[in-house]
Amino acid sequence: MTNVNRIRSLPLLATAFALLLSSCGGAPSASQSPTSGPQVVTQVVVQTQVVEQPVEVVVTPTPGPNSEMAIAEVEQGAEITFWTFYLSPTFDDYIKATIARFNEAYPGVTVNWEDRQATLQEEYRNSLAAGNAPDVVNVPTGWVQEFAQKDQLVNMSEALPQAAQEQYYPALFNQTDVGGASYQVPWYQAVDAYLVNTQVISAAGYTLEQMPKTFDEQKQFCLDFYAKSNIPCGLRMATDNLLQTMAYEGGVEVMNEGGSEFTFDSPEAVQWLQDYVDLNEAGAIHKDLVLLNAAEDRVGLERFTTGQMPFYVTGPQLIRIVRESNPGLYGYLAMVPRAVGRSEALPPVSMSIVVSKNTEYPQASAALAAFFTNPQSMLEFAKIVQIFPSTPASYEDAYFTQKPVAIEDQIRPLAEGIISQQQNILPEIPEQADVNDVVRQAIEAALFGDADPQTALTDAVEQANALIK
Amino acid sequence: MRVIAKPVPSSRTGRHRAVWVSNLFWYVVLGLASLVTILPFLWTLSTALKGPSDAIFSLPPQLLPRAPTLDNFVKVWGQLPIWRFFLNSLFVATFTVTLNVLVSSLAAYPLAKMRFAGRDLIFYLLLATLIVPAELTYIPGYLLAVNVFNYYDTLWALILPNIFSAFNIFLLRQAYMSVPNDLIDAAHIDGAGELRIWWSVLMPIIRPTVATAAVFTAVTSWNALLWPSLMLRNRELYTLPVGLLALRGMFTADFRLIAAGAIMVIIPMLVAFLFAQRYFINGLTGAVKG
Amino acid sequence: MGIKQRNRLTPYLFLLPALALMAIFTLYPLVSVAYLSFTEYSILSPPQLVGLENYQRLLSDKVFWLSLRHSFTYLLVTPLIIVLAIMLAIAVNRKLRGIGLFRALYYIPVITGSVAIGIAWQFLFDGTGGPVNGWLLQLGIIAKPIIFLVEPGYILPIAMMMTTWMGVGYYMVVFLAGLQAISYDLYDAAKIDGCNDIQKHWYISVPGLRPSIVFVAVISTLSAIKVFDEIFVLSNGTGGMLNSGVTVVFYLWKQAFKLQNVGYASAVAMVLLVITLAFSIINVRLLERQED
Repeated sequence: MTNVNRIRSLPLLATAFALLLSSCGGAPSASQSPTSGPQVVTQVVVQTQVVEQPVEVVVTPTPGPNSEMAIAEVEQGAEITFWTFYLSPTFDDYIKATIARFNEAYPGVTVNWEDRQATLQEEYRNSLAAGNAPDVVNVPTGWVQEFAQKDQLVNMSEALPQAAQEQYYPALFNQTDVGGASYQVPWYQAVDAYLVNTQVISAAGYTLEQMPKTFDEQKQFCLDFYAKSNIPCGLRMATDNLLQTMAYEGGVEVMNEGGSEFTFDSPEAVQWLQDYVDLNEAGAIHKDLVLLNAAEDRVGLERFTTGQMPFYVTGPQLIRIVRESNPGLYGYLAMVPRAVGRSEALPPVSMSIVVSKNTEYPQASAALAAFFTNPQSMLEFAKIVQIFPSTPASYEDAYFTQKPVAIEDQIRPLAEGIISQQQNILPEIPEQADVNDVVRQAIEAALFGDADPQTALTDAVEQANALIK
Repeated sequence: MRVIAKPVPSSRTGRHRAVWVSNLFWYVVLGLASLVTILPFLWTLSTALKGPSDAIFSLPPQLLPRAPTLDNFVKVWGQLPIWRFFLNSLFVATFTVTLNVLVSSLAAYPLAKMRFAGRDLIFYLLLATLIVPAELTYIPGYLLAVNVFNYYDTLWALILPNIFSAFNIFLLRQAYMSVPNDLIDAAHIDGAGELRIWWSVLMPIIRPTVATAAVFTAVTSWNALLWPSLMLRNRELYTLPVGLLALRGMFTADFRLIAAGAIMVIIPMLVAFLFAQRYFINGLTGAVKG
Repeated sequence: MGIKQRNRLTPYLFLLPALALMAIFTLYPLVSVAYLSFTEYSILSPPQLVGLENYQRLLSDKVFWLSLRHSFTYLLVTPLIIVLAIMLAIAVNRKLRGIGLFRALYYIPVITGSVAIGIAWQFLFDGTGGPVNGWLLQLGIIAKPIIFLVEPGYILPIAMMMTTWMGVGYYMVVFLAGLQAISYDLYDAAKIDGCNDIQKHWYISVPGLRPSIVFVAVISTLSAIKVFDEIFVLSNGTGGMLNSGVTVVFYLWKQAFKLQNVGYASAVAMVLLVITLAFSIINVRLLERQED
């Protein structure tokens, strides 16, 4: 089967190589004038002309410290630790400047900022257990539930004054509902889209218009694409929250109505898993990427950067990494909306800020969380990297209404519409970490073992239900 | 091997040749084994020296970088305090070794040379602790560190649990037993106290075994991974292995930088080994034989 | 025999620091872990006694049984490492120019540390284009790259190879010392009897090394049954796809420190204790038989 495919695809491969070679000399590196050399993909290259135009960052002067003060009384002399996730060293300046502004609004509070990477989740868990957790932490929103369930986070619905809560889109503020309250404030949002390598898809005879629009189309696309080009897709499940992936992509009801039992062995769930099994067996997806966790996102991105997949689901904020490691590819990038799952909804791609319950300075910590997520902080952040604010007020700025120039920005005018509609369709999952581990094992068994999806999922549902009994 | 098995020629030049051929054979064997030994290091070094234009993975595998660069080292050095990790490792190893050897050599002396009630009981108790896997103590050890001693996230958390070592006590007891009793009796007659006898009469004699115990303890402490990774949160306190793990998490996809970090972490131990090779080899294997 | 003390307290004072530390860092944890194994405990809230529940759960926990199987499979490292280390010891046990350099070289992996080595091995076995894949492709042994560290079934053998590679230099030196204790006369006699080189080593070196072999077997089985670092580093802390690399100690770590099921992890720890106890008894028997 594979052999036949390979032989059939030889001429295509040759064409692909020819295209690759011919573009080598002429590919505009991002800073070059675009007129040199032959262009393979005109549509996208046009956009590179203006790419290097520096984005003006206008910091509007703060009209007095009180305007950004969300909490009136903070502990005097408070010293709080703030962990961010994968932001240093690129955004050092921004974070330091924002902390400086925070200090203007709240003099007398010391903020010790540290950045964490791949090990953040474990480090935060362990520090909570050890009782020396950082006061304020930036975590992917998907992690909030676990910590909130273990009663380790400050209830933001109580800690923040009403006015501060109203600065966010309500759906984002309430996106992880634990016992009817919010234990996070929404920070920057990303809009995951297809980052397309137009060089790779046109070599296989595809255009941007043919990119899949639905989960089902995506499956067919990957199978066809692999047959034509021998290049697999780089699909991956969000392994930190597999039930979420199931719910959005497969339209699976993961729990019953009352939330007392898991139901992710329904025909929809089996079909969803079967789709991945089919793709995997055909070789049409990168085996080692499909179960990559969010912290290892960049392993997949690196693979994309080296031309080993047609598209990668990611946010525009990561384009800079592609640009750094392979400047030549930049001109061939395009962003288009990603396929929508059978749930017909898109999962929020969201960062949160949480406050640890055992903090000595709950007021100052909540103030910092609210400050980093206020409209002005968010707008300034959005101006230096392609992220989207969780605060409606930020979108009133001209920055969001003007026409985009760079590839990274193709999504921007649509962002408010998408962001404001993103919301969680998942119920609260009890014992989230353990259940996720069980689900992961079932998926691994179906993808890499001999278990058929139905058996694997039924088995997992049984184990998961035992965990919540 | 077949080469040597041939009957030895009687003429002088023939014998000379046989030796030469045999030597060549052994050099080939040793060379192949060396290749297997250094290949992972060489590959890592080569990856660390590759610039963005050099492919990390290509077919055929490209061992030598076309345009070697030190940029990766500079970048890693600038982003993570490797020197800090080194100092932390050094601090932990120094204190662990000193205290461990001190406590062990104190404990081993009466076990080897004194008569007292309960000696056998204590001896067998110590022997029994050898069976307890260190991994088993990590859970309660973690709770102790957090709830009782409050040394979680300090370097002492890596030192204190590693001062007691039944293994070293037995090693040193063996050494004390080989010291003649007359020597101790003579010191008693001179009016020396036990502490003085231990320090100025016995310690100098058992010094080689102390060195053995010290090297063994030092290498174990230097390379420890699981316990330090549980105890350290603050990046400023990381030891080299924990720091290298963090570095890998930081540069997930950038193999060049990870490789550069790995090379930098290996270097201090390698230098120590080159300068004190004999101690290392005697120390580590001596410990096994004791 | 011992010497009589003037002060009856002296021996106890010498032993005091060691015994105090032993009580705190070995005996107390032992008692504590035994207690915790009967509780449900997540560190965040106080432990609750649950009787034998954890042990019952162990019996039906497939991953736990898998981890036991992996830890026992890991024991295959012992014969492998013994054979390779003896061969290497024989190779370096001769007067050749630069032989000291070779001995030192083979020793380097022993002192390097598992994280750096694990990273180097990850590069070698990388699934998209590591050199091992490259060479296998070149030689025509495989038609497309194998994603070694993801496909279940490879991570355990690779970790075992890594353990062997890391340890062989260490055991080589042990055997070298053993070889050097064997009298040269024996080899000369064998030569006269018409033994070839291989026979010579089979009939003289191997029996002569018996004490060292037993010793190495004891040491390496005990460390093989407790393997953690190699799996942890090679699998990036996941234990490998389908738990294909999970060993008992790895499972203990995962339950205790990743999922924070401390009570359950303590039950795993108790099983580990029983296993090492059994191994220690076997080892003592072996050593005793050797004394005879």
